[in-house]
Order: sequence, then structure tokens, then C-alpha cells
Amino acid sequence: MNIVEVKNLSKKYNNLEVIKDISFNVEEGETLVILGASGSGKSTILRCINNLEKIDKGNIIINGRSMIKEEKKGKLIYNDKEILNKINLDIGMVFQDFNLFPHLSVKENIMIAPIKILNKSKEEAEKIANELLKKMDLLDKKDEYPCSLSGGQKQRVSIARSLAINPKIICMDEPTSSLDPELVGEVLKVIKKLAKEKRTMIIVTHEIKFAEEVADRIIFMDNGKIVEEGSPEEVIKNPREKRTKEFLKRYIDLEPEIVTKKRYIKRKTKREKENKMEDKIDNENTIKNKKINEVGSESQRELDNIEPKEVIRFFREISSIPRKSGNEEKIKDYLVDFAQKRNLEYFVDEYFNVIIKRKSEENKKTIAFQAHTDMICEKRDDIEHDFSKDSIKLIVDGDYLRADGTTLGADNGIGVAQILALLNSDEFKNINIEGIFTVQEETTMIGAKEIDLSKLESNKIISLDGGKEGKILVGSANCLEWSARIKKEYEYNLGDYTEFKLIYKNFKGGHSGGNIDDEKRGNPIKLGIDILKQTEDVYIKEISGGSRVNVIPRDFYVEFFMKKEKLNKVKELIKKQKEFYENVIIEIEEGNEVNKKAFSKDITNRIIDFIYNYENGVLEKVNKAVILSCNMATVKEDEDYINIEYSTRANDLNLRDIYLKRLNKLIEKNNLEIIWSQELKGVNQEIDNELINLCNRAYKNLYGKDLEKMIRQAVVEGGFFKDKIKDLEYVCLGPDTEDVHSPNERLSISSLQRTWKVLEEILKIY
Amino acid sequence: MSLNQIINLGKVLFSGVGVLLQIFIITLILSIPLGIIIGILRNSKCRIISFITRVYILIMRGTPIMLQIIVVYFAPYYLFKINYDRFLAIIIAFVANYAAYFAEIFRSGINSIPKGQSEAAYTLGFNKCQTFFLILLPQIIKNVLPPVSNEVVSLLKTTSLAQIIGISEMFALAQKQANYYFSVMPLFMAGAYYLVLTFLVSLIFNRIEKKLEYYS
Repeated sequence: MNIVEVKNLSKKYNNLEVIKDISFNVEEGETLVILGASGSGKSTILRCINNLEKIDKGNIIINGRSMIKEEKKGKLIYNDKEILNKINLDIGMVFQDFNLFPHLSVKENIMIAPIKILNKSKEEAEKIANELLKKMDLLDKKDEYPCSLSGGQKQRVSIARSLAINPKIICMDEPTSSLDPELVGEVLKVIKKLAKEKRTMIIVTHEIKFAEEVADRIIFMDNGKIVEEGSPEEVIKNPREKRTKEFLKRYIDLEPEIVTKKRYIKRKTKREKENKMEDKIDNENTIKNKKINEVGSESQRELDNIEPKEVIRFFREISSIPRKSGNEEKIKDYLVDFAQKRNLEYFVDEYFNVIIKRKSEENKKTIAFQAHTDMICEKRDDIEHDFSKDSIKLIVDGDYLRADGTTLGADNGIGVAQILALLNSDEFKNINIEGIFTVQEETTMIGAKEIDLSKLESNKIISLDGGKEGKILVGSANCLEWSARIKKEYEYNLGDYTEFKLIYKNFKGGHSGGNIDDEKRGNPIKLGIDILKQTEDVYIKEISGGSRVNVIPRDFYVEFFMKKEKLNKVKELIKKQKEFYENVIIEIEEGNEVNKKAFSKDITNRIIDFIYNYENGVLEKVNKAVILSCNMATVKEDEDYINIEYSTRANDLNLRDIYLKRLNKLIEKNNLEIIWSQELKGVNQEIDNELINLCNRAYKNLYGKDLEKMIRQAVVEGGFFKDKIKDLEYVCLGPDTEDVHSPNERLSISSLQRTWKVLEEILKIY
Repeated sequence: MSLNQIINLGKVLFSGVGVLLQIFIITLILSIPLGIIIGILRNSKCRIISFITRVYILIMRGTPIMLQIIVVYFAPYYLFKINYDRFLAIIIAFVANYAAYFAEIFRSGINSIPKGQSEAAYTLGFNKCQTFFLILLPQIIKNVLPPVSNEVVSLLKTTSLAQIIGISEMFALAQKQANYYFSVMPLFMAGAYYLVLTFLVSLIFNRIEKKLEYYS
């Protein structure tokens, strides 16, 4: 049922049309998010729905009641006061700047409406207030006054206040925009809670990640019109409209898959221009494809004979199910079906996390295994593959199992398959086995963050993600990520300076956790800034580099002004850098000056000083293991700011805190404004607990060697489990895989066979 | 003057304090609510109402209060040959005048409350009246307390003008005594009374301000 109907709504402020003939509906229980740049009219819509602004054309119908009575001579006549009051009580509003009543205590702020409007007794109202405050986790603040609360607390009180009259619809106007970045999380958490309760909500925001998580449907607005509408999948992951893409690009990176596609099309058009070349290349391609297909059909048969047969069988079944991150519904259905058919107890949550339990009759000991169901979808440019419906073709290639020009999804499908094989097995009947299947590990980690593990009996979890044969992961890093910015200021008329472009391309990049310990990868942003620093007296005009906050940058591009006579010196410096790194492109060329406008000296110096002095790469190591590292990840511009993203990973929090002090000084010195940050928790445990010893014993029984204990800089899902399970013991084990996250992803079959035996041995001796 | 004379004088002047306080309190009780109403009307979107209140405030603040008292008392006589109570006349004149000052104070007080407060109240279902009395007024009072206390103190002393239409309040008595004894002592003593009264009024306002300090 549509609880809100907006029909042909138009609104003008002094002849400026801010909303242009907009129509949309909101269903009961739905969370609708309205995205858009500032000035796109999104807040005005909320204000019109709340009758805080009068509309000029159209109508709004709330819960069957119409706001407009009739139209007379082109003017709208609003309905009677009585009806408007009823409409009003159906809608709650949460404002950007809270608008709490300062003269009333937190409790009174919430109680006043139930008492005065709903005629509740004081006791009843107090009960309502207590319940709501408990939900907002603010019960201890109930007698304080708004002035003594933090922004996040204020906003939570304001949400509680709007809920006090039990409205059918809750509108939120930029609920997190006036908050400090570190306070945003607590408010978003509360809103997510409400979304889970299936409250009808209309939320105006720019927090794209949040929108993606919470929205059932997203409307993207630009210039007073709805540009795009659809599920978060459609609008954020696959935007169709140019404006949406531009907007999203300013806030997040487009998914790598889309980028690849774009590049492909570009290349193709280029090809079409060169007619002769085209035929040749296409011929080559078809031959290549044919070969692969032939190999494919042979290896399908081969596949059936590979041990461990059960694991391979399940992996084949999973590979036919599309399971891109954020799209795990089908794999969830598969897992639920698996559990139902075998009469196993299972739990599913709204994120599509699944837990399956196999109880033994003797009911002795319990152990849990964990894997994530989603996978990264990457493919070669010349391959036609639709990750949303095509199954992944498995090819046996020597000792390796690989896909046909796409990612294989062994990360972490092989883990899922192994758990299913264990749950399905007739052996180990004396042990309770629990399988934990999480979602979105490759993107938001929301699955691990939000999964409810209270149903779990075991405090021992073996993750089958990200392992390496012969090694056992016993610790992971705590990761802090930031986004900071510097406001732009310009300088004009740089008379005798000349414009240059400095270009860094084809660096290896890689994951800022896994690959940071490889000096040869280099960080092009740091390298480029090094040159500018040594050149001195430059003005940056344009700057961009890197892709995502958890990736080592692969490219860097800077346009800048300097005195022409310095060119030789710069070329010298470039030569030195080139000697150190392999197969990279570093170029300097003269720019095509359009105007002599660049960032002011002060801004340029702040950018250079910050990046130059930023301690990048590995900072501390213990026995070859990195325990503190930093990554200068991206530098990007938007209209008004230069945005810089960087991250720190630490296994030793004391060392990190010392480093953070230095970093903070640098940030203060260069006056950077931090606009976003998040902390991903790490796994920290006793290095010889029961689980680790158990795994080690099993390995030693089979291969006569100890497992090598490994501490990684990457973030693993186990970090999020720590708060959920008392005395958690968590390790990661698994077979060797190569070139994960790329179309060359391959799984070593022999390694799988050996590590699978380790799992069986663990269960035998447990 | 002898001590006895001074004590006597004190008693005589004290009888005038009663009249002073009557004028003071009645004026306050009537002018503050009137001031709030005029303040709200001054903010009205209806141009005529807002214009009328502006003219009213201009006249009340732009002419001497002494003239206003004379007009209020004598105009009915000259125009319609009506005689009426002097005390009533002084109350009308003072209330009319002070309401104008209070109106401006309250107007600025109303404007100092962010629009979001009324909007939040509206979305919770409050009507305009509830919004004003439950949400806005408590905050306005806190904001306007210092300027209001200024006006109140000034009113205390302005009561001395009641004598122009022949009301024997304290200062009028003091002047008479001063002429009688041919001494400035009675005037000084009147001054001391004003000082004590002002001190008491300030004390009360300080108390109220303290009480409202629980939030900022």
C-alpha cells in the first residue's frame, strides 16, 4: 500500500522553481532515500511533505488523506485544519540541526508531545520516553539538557522525540550532515535499526554508503527533478544517467567492473577507426576463444574426477549462482535450501548472512567454520560475461582450477564449498559443526559487522578465507581509514611560469594490507610529490591519483606551473625514479596552457608538505611481519576541495598511537579538515590458544611440520566477531590461490587436497 | 535637621512609597502582556497591523512621557469635557508607554528563537498557541530578561512623573517637604528609597536569571 503519494509536485521560491513536477510514492514499511547534490531540491520535498512549505502545484496524499482540497483559479486550497492536523500526526520529522527544545530535559523533550498532543498521562509518557531512550542507548542521559549532549546524542534524542507520537512515516532531513564524522556512525546505527523494524522512512542524505545499506529504493534528484530511481543496486552500482554518475563519482569510486567495461568500449571505438587492424585482431580473438572453449569442455569432464569430490561438487554448484558482493540473495536461498533438505537448523538475517548448524547425537564438542559467500567480479576486456546471471566456467589447467577470463570466486567460494562438504559429511558425528556464511566481505564487510552470533555455541572459529598452505593466520591488523580535505584557493597570472604535466602510470598497486611490504610497488602519489618538493617554487593546478582508500595507488597525475629552466632537474629526478621501478611510465610534458590559474602558494605548499611528510609504506616490522604500515591512497579534487584519503594498519596499537600523534601534528600543521574516518577492528589473541594448537597438531600429524603462524596487515572478518563472542579463538586456514581478485585467479588443486586433509584431521583429533 | 525630624520625614515619605508601588506593580502587570501582544502584532504578516503597531511604537518612544501623561489626562477634558480619575490616567499613560518598549524587547526576543523550534513543534502536532506558550515563551523569557530588567528599573524611577497630574507619590512628597524645611535632605532621602527599591528589584531579577541558567 502506498502510504505517501506525491503527485506532480511543484514548488517555487520567488519565481525560482526548486521542484519541477515531481511524482513518487512510498510504500508502507519502505525506506526511501533521496540523494542529490545540495540545491537539488531534495530537502524541500521533505519540507513540503511535512507541510512546512506550501506547495504551488500538485498534491501530497498521506495515509489516504489529501493535503490539498481543491484547485481554484490555478491556486491550491489546502484542506481543513483538522485533516491537516491528522496528516501531521502521521509524519515525524528529524531535522538536520536537531531542533531540540533547549529548555526541556532530554526526557521532557520526548514526553511533551505525548502529554500535550496525545493526552497521555505523565506516567505513560515517561514510559514511552524510557523505552525510546533505551532503544537509542541514551537512558543514562534522560535528565540532562540538550546543551550538554554531543551532536550524535542530540540527533538520537531528536529521532526519539519524533518517534514519541508514533508516526506512520518518519522523514529525516540530512540527519548526519551537522555531525562530526566520528559521531555519524552512532546515528546511522539507530536509523538502520529503524529500517530493520520496517518503519516507513524517507531520508534525505548524501551518505552514499549509508544509503546503499539502508535504502529499499533510491531516488536521485538533480535540479528539481528526479533523474534516476531504483534499488540501491541500480542507482549506486549501475547508474544509468550521466548526472548520477558524476555525483557518485565525487563521493565514491565506481565499481572496478564498470570501469573495465568503459575502457573496453573506448578501446573498441578506437579500433573501429582503424579498419584494417580490426579484422586482424578480431580474427585472433575468435581463435583464442575457440581454444578456450575446447579446453573448457574437456576439463568439465576432468573436473568430476578431482578429489575432494564433495568439495568440488559444491564448488561447481556455487559457481553457477551469481554472487557479486551486495547481491547474495540467491546464494542465501541455495544455502537455506541446503539446510532444509538435510533437516539442519539454520538462521538467516536481513543481510543474507546464514548460519547452519549440524548437531551430533552425542552432542560433545562444537567447532565453527566461516566463509564469505560473495565474490569480486572482474573479467578480461575481451570476454562477454554477465556476472548477474552467467555461471562461472571452471577450467582445469594443470594443477590449477581457473575460470574463463573471469575471477574464479575461489575467494571465498572454495571456503563455502568446504563448509558445505563438512556439514554434508557422514563422518565426525561426535562433533557439532557450525557453518557461518557472511556477505559483502569484499566491499562493506557489513555481513561480519552485523551478523548475530549469539546463536553460536562454539567460541572457536576457523575461517576458510585468505589462507595460505602451511600457514595459519592468527592475528590481523586494526585498520584506520581517513578522508581529509583542503579547501581550494586560486592564484592567477603566474607570469613567467610554464605549465607542465607529470604523469605516473602502470604502477603495480595492490592491496594496502597484503602488498604494502613490497618496496618495488612504489606509491606514485608520494613519488610525484617528492619531485614537486625537490623542484621547489611550483604551483599545482590539477592533481589526481589513486582509486580507493584500501588500495595502493597505481597512477598519479599532476598539472603544475614552474620556471622552465628547472625542467632538466625534474627530468633527472624522474630518471632516478624510473631506474628503481620496473615497467612503469613516468613522463613529464609541457601543458597546453589555457589560462595561468593554479592553486595558491599556500594551498600548494600544504598539499606538498602533507604528502611529502606523510610516512608511507612499512613503518615497523617484527620478524619479517609488518606490524605498522600506512598508505597514501588517493588524491582527488571536487569543485571546492582537494580530498586526500589515507589509511593506517597496525597490529600493535601502542606503536600506532605513537605514530598517530605524529600524524595528527602533520594534519594540524597543514590544516587539513578530516571529513570521514572509520576503524576496522583487528584480531588480537593469545598466540598459543587451544584452537591454534589444535590446528597445529593436525598439520603436524599429517606433514610433520609446524604451521607457520602469520600476522597479517589485512582486515579479516574475525575482527568484528571479537565483540560478539566471549573468549573468541579465530584463525584462518586455506589452500593456495594465485592472483586473487583478478581474471587470472587460480586455485591450486593439490594444495586444496592437502589443506582439506588438514580440516578432516582437525575434526578427527578434536 | 534633627534626628527626630529625619525619622518623621522618613515616615511621611514612606507613605508615598505605597502609591509608588501601586503604580509600579499595576503598570508592570498590564504592560508586559500588552507588550508581548504588540510585539507579536509588530511581526504580523498583515501589513496594516504591522504598520499600525510601528506607528504606535514610534509615537510612544518618540515623545516625552511627560507629554503623554498630560495628553492622556487632559485631552478627554478639552475634547469632550470629561473628567476622570487621575490614578487611572497615570496607569493608562504608563502602560501605553511601557508596552511600546516591552513590545520591541519581546519582538527581538521572538526573532532570536530559531525558526526550527516552531517547525519542530509543528511536526510534533502542536498548534500555534501551544507552540508559543510551551516552546517559545520559556525561551524568549530567558533571552529578554536583561533588557526587561532595565525597563523595570527605569519604570520604578519614572513613577515620579505622576506628580504632574497631581498624584502624591513619594517624590512629590519629598519635594514638598524640601520646600517646607528649605533643605535638600528630603530629596536625598527619596533618592535613598529609590536606591533601596531598585536594589530589591535587581535582586529579584538576578534570582530569576539564576533559575533559568540550567540550560544554555
